[in-house]
Amino acid sequence: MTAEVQSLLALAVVAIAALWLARRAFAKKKHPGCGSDCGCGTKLTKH
Amino acid sequence: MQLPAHINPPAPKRNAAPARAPVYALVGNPNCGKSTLFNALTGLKQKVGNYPGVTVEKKVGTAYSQHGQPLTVIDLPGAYSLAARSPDEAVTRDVLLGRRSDTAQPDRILCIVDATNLERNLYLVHQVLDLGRPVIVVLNMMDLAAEAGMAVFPDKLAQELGVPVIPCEAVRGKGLIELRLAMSRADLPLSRHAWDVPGAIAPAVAEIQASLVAHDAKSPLIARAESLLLLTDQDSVRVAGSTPLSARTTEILAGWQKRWSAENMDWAGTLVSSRYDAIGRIAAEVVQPGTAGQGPSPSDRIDAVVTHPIWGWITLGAVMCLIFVSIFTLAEYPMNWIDRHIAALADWVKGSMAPGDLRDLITDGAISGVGGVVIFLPQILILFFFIGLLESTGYMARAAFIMDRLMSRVGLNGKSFIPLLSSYACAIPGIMATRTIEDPKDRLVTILVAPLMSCSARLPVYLLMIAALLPAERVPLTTKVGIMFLMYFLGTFAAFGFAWLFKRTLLKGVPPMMIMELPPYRMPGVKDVGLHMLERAWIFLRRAGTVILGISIVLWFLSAYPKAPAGASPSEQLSGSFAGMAGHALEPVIKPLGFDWQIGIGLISSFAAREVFVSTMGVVFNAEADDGDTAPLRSALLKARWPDGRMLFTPLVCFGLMIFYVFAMQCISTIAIVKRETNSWKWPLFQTAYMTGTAWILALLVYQVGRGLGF
Repeated sequence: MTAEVQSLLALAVVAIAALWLARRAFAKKKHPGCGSDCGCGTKLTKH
Repeated sequence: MQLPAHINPPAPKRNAAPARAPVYALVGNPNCGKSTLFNALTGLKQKVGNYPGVTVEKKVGTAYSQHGQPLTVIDLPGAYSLAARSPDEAVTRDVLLGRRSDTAQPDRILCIVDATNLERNLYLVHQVLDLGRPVIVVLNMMDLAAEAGMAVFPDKLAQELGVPVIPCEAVRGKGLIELRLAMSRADLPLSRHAWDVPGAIAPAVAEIQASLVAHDAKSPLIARAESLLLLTDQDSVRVAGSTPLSARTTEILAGWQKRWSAENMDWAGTLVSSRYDAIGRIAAEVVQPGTAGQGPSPSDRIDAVVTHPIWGWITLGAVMCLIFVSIFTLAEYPMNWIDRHIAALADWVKGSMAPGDLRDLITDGAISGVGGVVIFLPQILILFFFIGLLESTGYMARAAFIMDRLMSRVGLNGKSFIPLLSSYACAIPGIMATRTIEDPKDRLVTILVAPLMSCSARLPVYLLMIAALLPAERVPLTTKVGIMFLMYFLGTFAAFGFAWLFKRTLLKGVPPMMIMELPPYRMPGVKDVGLHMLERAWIFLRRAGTVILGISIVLWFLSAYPKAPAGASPSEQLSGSFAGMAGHALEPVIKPLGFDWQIGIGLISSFAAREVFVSTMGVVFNAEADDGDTAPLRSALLKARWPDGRMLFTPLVCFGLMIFYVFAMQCISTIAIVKRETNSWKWPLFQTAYMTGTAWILALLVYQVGRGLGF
């Protein structure tokens, strides 16, 4: 694989990763704010 | 045609199973085994623990009847009564009363009752029976009741309440077949329980009931139960999705309360007392007290030590030391094994591919970034093994009890300590656990300080810095354990300090009394602890394989582009890259802390999550490495230098970085969850500012004072 092809492939992978991260950060989620890491629950209102 | 006696007649239409899957709600007092039963029925792995307040939101699963028909089961947060005092209890109340727009009112209710505390548990059962829904009472922990010498008679209870009563030991799966059989019945009877509402209150109950039917579209029985509840509860705790009362009902309710207040009559108290009288009569029939009261139980004997004003603290300190020693000693071999294999993988890729960007992306970006974090998996597993043990034995509640003495001095109570303890794992469940706190100001203070507790995402940062600060061959284990202990202590101490400050300035309030149940000690469930560890390992690896991998790839690009002129060193390439430019832009702010622009790149990227700092260091310092082989990150850090040749990661800088990460609010997910729980951007922004500001000031003090002292 030539250096040029490697560069193109690497940039494509970077673009996919960046798009995925952006989508993850800004897409509307069923449970916003969870980070899908540690669990989250029902939204609360002011008392 | 007359059916034989042993065959049940077809169910009357009123109680016939609906066409959709019947919805069962699981309700009960806190820590009576609801989630354990929920897991047993649905096969799910909902978190369980031997302390009150583990479940703070509803969870939905599917169980199957004896005939294979699906049954929807909703696990609700524990509540002592339907009069909600905290947001988690409000969720239970609203689901049962059909106030939630996002959840259908349950068709049937499973009331889980702790057989060792029957009388107290029956208060909620009594209220639930008023709802006029088919109810099955599950008498859980029958084994513990027998151990305590109590005799509990399920048949008598079934007779008194007029609903099926199933004795059960959810932990061992005993009674589940009988329970499934009962749940499969199409003709579940409605309760025959009778309770005389005091005559003077009856007109109020009737008027509010009529209004609820007319203006709030409630069925008559639900309306009666809700009117009884409204007259004894201020209905002050509301959660989103809860349908508010109509103006007319609110007006009638206010009218009655005003009238009773003018008459100086405590009819609400009378209503509660009359319910307790009815329950007392049932309990006297159903329970034969045991011999447990004649001497201290094993739990009492253990508590004499672990909740003792002096021995309690010594025990807590010993438990913490044991955890940290285990993290350093037991994890060493698996950590080295992972380290070797990650390096071998990177070297194999380097040997297999021609030089180029894709190869660099794989080795310097993906493998260095993800590998730098995955290496800490053994420590994470050990930490969660101990957290699981402490939760399942019942020690967590004791820790909260002894902390209450200290917490009352800062204006909080022990109820805030369970969320703070949960935050040692992750601040997100900790912040959600604050829903058990009744007072809104106390809840907000706890939310504001919870991220100061050292979460598991900080562990990789601490371990990396301790490894760089104190290479293994030079220092004894106790020094490393001592530094780790210090970091956890600093976070905890800061949380209390800021709570004290907030309670005296922004969120003034009277320190509340703590009423907390100390559950009996239980042998830890190996399966539960194992599942807890596996779940956390999966969360950690999923995060490493998704977010951290993505950030590492993007970071590699930012550190590899724009390309430096041919012949430039790796260091020059990094310095002129996008990441390098960002690091240089931040350097004036962090240089007084002893941090250079490369550390600055880590500080910026780790706003996503704290452990990203470690993966960033992996990408940055492997990108900078001149030699062909992949060196462990710790070694790469020790080789890092300032342009004038001075060592970058001096002990003082490593210590300052740890201090920075103890205090800094480096977690976007936590900021988002605080915004959601407080319904405002004000508090998460304030929290980010005060935490990161404190982190900067303290790291500055450590570095400057340390340098002044000659370190």
